[in-house]
Amino acid sequence: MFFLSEPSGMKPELEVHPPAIFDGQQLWDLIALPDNVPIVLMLVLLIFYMWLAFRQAFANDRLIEQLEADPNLAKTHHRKTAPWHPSWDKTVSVWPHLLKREFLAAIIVTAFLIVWSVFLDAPLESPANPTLTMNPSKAPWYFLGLQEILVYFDPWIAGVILPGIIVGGLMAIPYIDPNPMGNGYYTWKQRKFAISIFLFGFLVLWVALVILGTFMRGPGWMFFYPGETWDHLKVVYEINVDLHEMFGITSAMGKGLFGGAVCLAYSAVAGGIFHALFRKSTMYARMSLMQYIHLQIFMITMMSLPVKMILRLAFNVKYVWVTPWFNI
Amino acid sequence: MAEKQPVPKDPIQTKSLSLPIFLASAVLMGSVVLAGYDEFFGRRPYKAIQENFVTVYSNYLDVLKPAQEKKLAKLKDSKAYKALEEKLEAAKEAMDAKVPAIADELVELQGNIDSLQGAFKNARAQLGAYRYSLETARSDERRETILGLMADVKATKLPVTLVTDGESKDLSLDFDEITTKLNAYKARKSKLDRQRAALSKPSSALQKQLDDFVVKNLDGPLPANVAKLMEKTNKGLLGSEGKGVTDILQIHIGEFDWVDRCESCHAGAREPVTMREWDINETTPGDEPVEMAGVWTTHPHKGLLEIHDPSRFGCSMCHNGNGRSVTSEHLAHGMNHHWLFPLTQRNPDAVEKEMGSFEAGCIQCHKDDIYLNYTPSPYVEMDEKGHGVRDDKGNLVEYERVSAFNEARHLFQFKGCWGCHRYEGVDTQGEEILKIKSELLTLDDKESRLAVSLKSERDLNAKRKLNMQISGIQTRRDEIVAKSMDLEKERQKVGPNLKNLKSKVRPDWLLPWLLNPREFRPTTKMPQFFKNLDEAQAKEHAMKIAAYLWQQSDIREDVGTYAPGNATMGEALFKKRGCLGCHTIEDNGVTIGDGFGTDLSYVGDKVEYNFLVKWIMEPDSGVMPNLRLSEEDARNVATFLKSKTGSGVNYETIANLNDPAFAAQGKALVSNYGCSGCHEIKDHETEGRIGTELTKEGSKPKERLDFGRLEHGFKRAHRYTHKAFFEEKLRNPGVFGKGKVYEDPDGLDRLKMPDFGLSEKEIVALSTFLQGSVETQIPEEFRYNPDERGKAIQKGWWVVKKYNCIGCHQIEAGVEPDLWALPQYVGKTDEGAKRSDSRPPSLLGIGFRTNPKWLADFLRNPTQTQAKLHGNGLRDYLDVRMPTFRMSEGEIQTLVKFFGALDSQSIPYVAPVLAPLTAQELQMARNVFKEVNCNSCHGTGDPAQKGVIAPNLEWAGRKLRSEWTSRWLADPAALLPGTNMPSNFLEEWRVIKTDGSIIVGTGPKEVRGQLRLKDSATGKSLKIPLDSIKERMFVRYLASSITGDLKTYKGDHLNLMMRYLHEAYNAGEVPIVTPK
Repeated sequence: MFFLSEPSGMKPELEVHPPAIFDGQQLWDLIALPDNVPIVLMLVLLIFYMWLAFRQAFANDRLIEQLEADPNLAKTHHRKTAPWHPSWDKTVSVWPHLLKREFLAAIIVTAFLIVWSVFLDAPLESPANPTLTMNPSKAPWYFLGLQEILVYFDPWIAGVILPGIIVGGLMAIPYIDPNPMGNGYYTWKQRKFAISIFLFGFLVLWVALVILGTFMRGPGWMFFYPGETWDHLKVVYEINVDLHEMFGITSAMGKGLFGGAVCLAYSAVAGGIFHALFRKSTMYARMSLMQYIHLQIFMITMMSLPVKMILRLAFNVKYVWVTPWFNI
Repeated sequence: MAEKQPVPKDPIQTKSLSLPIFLASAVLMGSVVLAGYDEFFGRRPYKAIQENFVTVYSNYLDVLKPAQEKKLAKLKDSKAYKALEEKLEAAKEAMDAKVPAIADELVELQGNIDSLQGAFKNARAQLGAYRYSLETARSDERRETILGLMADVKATKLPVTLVTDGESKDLSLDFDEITTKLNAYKARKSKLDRQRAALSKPSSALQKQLDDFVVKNLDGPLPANVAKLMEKTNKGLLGSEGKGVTDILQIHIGEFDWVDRCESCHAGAREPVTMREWDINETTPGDEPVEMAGVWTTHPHKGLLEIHDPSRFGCSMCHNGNGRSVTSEHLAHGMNHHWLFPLTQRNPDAVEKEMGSFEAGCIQCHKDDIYLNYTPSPYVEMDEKGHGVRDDKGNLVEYERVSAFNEARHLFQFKGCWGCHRYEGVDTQGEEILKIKSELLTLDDKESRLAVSLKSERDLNAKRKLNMQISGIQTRRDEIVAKSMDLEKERQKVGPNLKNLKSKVRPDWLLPWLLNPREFRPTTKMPQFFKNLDEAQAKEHAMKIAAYLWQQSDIREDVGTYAPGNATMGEALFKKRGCLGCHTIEDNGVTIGDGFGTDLSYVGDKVEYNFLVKWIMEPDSGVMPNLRLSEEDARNVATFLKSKTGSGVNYETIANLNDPAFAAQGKALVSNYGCSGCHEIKDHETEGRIGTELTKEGSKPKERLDFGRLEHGFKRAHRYTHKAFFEEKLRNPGVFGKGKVYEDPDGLDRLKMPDFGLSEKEIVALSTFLQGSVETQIPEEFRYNPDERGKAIQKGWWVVKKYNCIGCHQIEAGVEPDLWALPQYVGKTDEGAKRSDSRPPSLLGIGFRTNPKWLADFLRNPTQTQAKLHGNGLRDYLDVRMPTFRMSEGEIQTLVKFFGALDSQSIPYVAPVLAPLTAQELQMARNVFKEVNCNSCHGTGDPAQKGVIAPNLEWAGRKLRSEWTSRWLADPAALLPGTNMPSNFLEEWRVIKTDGSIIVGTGPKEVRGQLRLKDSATGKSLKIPLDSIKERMFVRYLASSITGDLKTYKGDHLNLMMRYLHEAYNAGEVPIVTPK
């Protein structure tokens, strides 16, 4: 009887099947999930655009070097970006040269989105079952990084404070580093600090966490290598301990003071290291005190995330600072 | 500069992007086209399906129409049709004789009415306008003027043309004259209309009768209706609303916004013809089966759709799936991950042949029903071409099927699943008792508080009130205490009571039984435990449990020592007394009897003789009733049963059987395996159920079903479903323990569910039941919510099933107990003897027949008298015996209500008051009784009476409902088809034979082509072949011929006899016995 009965020839699978080390089917199911396609696309596009941007930036850097070495050339007619030729117009007008390229891009993106929407439906799922929380229950893909941070911090800190500070900090880069160089052209040399900090924040603390959350977190938010069968019966022995417990501190007051002291010490050490690294840069020289303080605060906060991750993953530290109001 | 380097062109300014833009635009256009295609076809696969359906359906109708025409022609040739047709023709002729004159006059009248109407309407409109002005006029002058104008209108003569007797006359009439005439004409017209309707009534009634006859006897639709369908289909219209083939066909239930679009693909589901898969394959050209034949079939069970009208219930309410989705089969059937209500699955073909599919959907609404009056449509096999398999005559080979619902309900109850698993509505007594206990506490508390205030109260009126309240509480307490005692009595575990095991069985039988019960008795309900243990450990567990059970047991004190009986007589008794109504036994290599109770084929290998004798005389636990056997009879039966040996059981003595330390280890095991779920065991009475609750098991998330280490295998095989889980678990309860590491050296951490040895059909039935046990999405008002009567039937079935009334009695028309087919119950076949039947009586109509009060009394004590301790009270003549059941009062009332409800009787029953018999009437009734010789068949309770084949009339008055008795006396066969009671016995008939001879006789009854009646002249019974009878006619009531002076009796003779039986006839009346 056509499709209503169970697939014929499928004998009851009554033998024990251990979870596979490489489960191609499951990996493909994960990748092909409409929800996850943007993440895979993002990976590819990110690499492509990084390559494109850095190729341009390095070409421009070479041009800048040439211009700096040859003041005559710098004074004559030239463009700031590669490729260039002395005889070419120094500037190119937006219309039609930029707009027609943007128009082309718009057409391509529109066509792409239409085709995408035809073949991949919106990843809406069936009505929620109030008695069952799905396992793993995952946020939309762009929030998976945040969900991953939840593993390491309190919801309030992981969900609000840290992302707020990190995003705010990334947005504040142009104000902390008001270097006018690099406006209108790609360059690495002239904006090393801004670019590397941004990329660290975006690539490591955002994209990498999204990918980790999507492909490597299975049932129970447990870690699975990409391709390993997700087994919701998996049991892992892992006991995380608060830092103060490691030192045998039990009193409430002691806990609070100890945690606070450790956090202060971390801030001091991180600030010190950062200061030592940063002190000699030209940027340091032209910064105001206010800018520098902000920079330090943002840097210390941002770095606390990877530090805490390492503490948790390598040393099973649950929280560093436990207070009745918040845990860090 | 002479040498000019060629200047490279600026790529930004000079590069033409025309080609890329052109190409990209082309791609964009292409994507828009793709989106359009997707929108109109890709997302609407049902369009193509509907188009193909129309082709297939037209093909089918093309074949169906001539076939139906042929059938109709044949039907029209039949005698019955022709007779009806002749009658119709005659009626039409009669009508035609009178109708034309009326019709002519009506035409004339209508013409006159029309003519008058024109003038009348015009004038009335004018008058109406003036009236408005008159009512709103502001001055008397104005009023005067208007009144004048109105008078003018009324006085104006209007020209009208009237026709009388064919002559046309032009008249001139004023308004009042017109009104009078018009009313007269109208009255005449409606009178004529009524006359015409009355004249055509006989012919239209006959026409309807003829149409009904055709519809009823023609197998399939009328050719005319098929033609209508063809017309519709050829236009490409579908569904009841006749939508075009590109439309979504949807059912929308507005009350709670339920949308089902299933018919968009399953377009044939509600078509008024029957078109099944094989019909489609057979009528579609080509040898290959039609791929979508299963999609387009009409609903296989039209009767179900009549009760559950799809326009009110939709499709997915029963079948599940996602009714809104039409984009793909996968989504529409709700097969996507996590959809809460995936489509109910079809059973495997092997099971499909025996049992209906899809019944999981029934359970969610019919949760409280224990028995559904439902038979699935028969199964038809298809060959490789998809054609139905036919027999030599060309008829489809149909396999009768049973309802999975009924099968599962029965199994769940009968196999005792509820011993370990709670299921709402099953075995509720324990919970009710707990409730009553807590209510008792509150009542006690309340009473003591009231008592305290009563003591201190001085106001007499307040005292009176307090006293009343206290007495109310006391009444309520008595009531619920009685109820709880009732419930204790009702509480019946599925297995036998083990509290007197020691008296009952051989000790060396225990071990082989516990290890593998089905080896000793293949049909036993007792499941096989210890299958998840290794052999040595299994044996150890069995021995410990045996020792514990042995030592907790008491010895039944009242068991004496009995001399052996006569096995041959015992066998006869066993086979005739009704034991086979519940028990099976091996009889010369064949198993006979009803499988409700224990199979007794090898019971001799197990039980102790003395216990058996006592048990047969006085069973003291379980549902086994007391058959009121004398000790001698009991000894005979016990001796017979004791001789039933030969199971080949390997007796094994348990060395430590009486070692208390050994038994103590068994106690934990008894708790571990939940033995007390099915057996009464000392000190384990209050143990709870050890299994999981199953009431909502079907909607338990899959993730919470314990697939164990097999989960990945099931996922890979796409069998990660409830269905697969239930079925595998039932097939092999230990299967999901595979691959798990167990560490308890005592083996107590293994899966505990024992193996019930279920057949494939039973497995699928139970799995269907569990799949249907869900938290339903269907709103309350759509679920089956029976009225008082329906509830009484639901509750009654529980009791009927519990005591297996259907083992001996017929309760549902068409379903006969197995017992009735046994030769010893079919009765004697020799023509001479009157006794033709020794079967337990049919209970069809019992609710209408009996007075509920008597019925309850009868159930309490079927003998009705102390004198008949070892016999039947009502039907002394039967060998089979109505046993005395240990029913609780509640169960008795439930049964009585059940029978009443089955026969649509109102509850409570109020007996009508009968007019007392006058002395004269009494005398006449006695004479009739004597003349008809009722006691030649009906018993009197006198053991010397011979030839009794009908119930004792002693209790007729108490037992029967008088309204039933009157009807019964008039026409017994109409109340109980197949009864021995003769019809018309109070009447005298004259039979004129074809040879001209005339016979006058009483009690005519047609049997096998013969008319039997008692010749009034000779008193002999005559058998006259029906084809030698020319005419028969009713002469008179027999009663009037008995005593001359009663000829003047004006009353109804049947009524008289009814009153006699109800009022006067009793043990005190001297019965007239006619020995034969």
